[in-house]
Amino acid sequence: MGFLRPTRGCAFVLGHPAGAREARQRIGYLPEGYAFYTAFAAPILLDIFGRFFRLPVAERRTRIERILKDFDLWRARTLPIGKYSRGMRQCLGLAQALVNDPKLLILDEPTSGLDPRGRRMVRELLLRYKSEGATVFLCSHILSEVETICDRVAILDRGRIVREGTLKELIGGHRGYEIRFAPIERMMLDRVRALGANVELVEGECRTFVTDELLAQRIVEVVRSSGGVLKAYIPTMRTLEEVFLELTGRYLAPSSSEEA
Amino acid sequence: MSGLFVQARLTVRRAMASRMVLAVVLLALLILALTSVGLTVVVEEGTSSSVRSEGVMVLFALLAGGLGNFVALVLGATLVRTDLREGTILSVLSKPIPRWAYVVGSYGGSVLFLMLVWGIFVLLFLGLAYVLEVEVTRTHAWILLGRVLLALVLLSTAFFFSLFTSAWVAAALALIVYYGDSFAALLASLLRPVVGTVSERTRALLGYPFPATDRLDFLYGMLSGQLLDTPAVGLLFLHLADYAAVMLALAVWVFERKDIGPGLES
Repeated sequence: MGFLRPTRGCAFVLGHPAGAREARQRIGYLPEGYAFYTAFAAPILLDIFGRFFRLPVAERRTRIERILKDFDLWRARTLPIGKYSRGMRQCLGLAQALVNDPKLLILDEPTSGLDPRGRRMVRELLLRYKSEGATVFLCSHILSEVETICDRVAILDRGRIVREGTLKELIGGHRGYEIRFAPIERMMLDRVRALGANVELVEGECRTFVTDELLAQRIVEVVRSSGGVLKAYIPTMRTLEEVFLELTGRYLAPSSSEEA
Repeated sequence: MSGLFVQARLTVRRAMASRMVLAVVLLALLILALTSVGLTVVVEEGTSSSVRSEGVMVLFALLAGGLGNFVALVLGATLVRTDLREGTILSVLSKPIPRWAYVVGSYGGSVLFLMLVWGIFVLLFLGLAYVLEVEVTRTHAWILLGRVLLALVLLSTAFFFSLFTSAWVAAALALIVYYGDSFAALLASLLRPVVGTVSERTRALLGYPFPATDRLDFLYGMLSGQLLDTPAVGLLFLHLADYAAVMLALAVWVFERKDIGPGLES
């Protein structure tokens, strides 16, 4: 965004040097803990911001009304921002980032301070922007949100990228297979165990978890051939959180710098 | 260019939203009332009504000028500093506005607001002259212009210093510069045992960074009947104007090179 002067090197955003006015013309930006001019009402603030983008008056008005309605802020349009709740402010922060209909959205913790309804609303809105061709650059500690919205993910640990790639590349294929079946004869159970599976009796059913797909299929065959009843065959995925913990360690870093 | 005007507009709206205008009008009216009452009590009996009226007007101008300077100081020291401290600057600079336009726009907006405040003072001053049946002369206009330029100097210096430091320190430094001509005179007298009598030229050079407020105290000049002649007034006005311009240029230069971000400002 051009806030910090580069020590070396150069970067380009949307074909323009990072921080250039031409680039910012097409960027929507929401920093973490967004600060407002709290004495203004939301439409006034958005109107001023719209003027920075040289939006014509009619377009500005229409867009501001639509955005405020999208975020359910239209009813509070006459209130000064200082009287908004934290969630409403966060929504307004997002609204101001969308006022220029950006091609690139840079968002730092966009759902911070929002209740589940607000989070869902923001998620759906971002997915809509994404589907319309905009790029969403999201920085978040809520990894489930990242999994839902992002195609590519970079994991940061203490300010350095420790892994980067598509979501599929990071999470990989199936983590393993959970197999549940009704109790079978002891001899058959021993056959399953002999394959290398650790079978446990839980809530009246046998359960096992294996990582190898071939092994999982052999267990299923053994269970079926012994007349057992297969209750569930569940391929399980790794989560981004597990990948994150694997890469960064399970303990908190001295500074809260780990982000995805 | 449009970014500059939008920023100026935003600055004026921020200042208006702070209800500073209302406070200024109320304070100016209070000053007016106190001045009138004070002079009625203090001025000796037998003094002609025209002298008394002139006294009311001069005192009002003096006190309103002080209030104008206070507004200038507050505007200069707090506007950009608040943006930097609270992080609202990120919401503006993430929009397609060059940094110089942000600085010049903020400054321009502050000047516009200051002019609005001075406009209120002028209206009150003219109203007072009408009520007291005092003729408004060219001298009054000179006084007004001088006071406005001095307020601009305060605004510019406080604005410049607020880019580096807290609003309080910026205001204090601006006041030091504002009254710095006295320091130049003090320095010249301190140097006298070492270098002998300091020439008028050196004295002028030492005093150049300061806006020469002592010599510009027109109200005092008017009260004492020692008004400066027109050419000298013109030069001093020029000095005040170039001072404000130089401070603004310095502010732009500094701001273009400044790193901005959360946690970078106290």
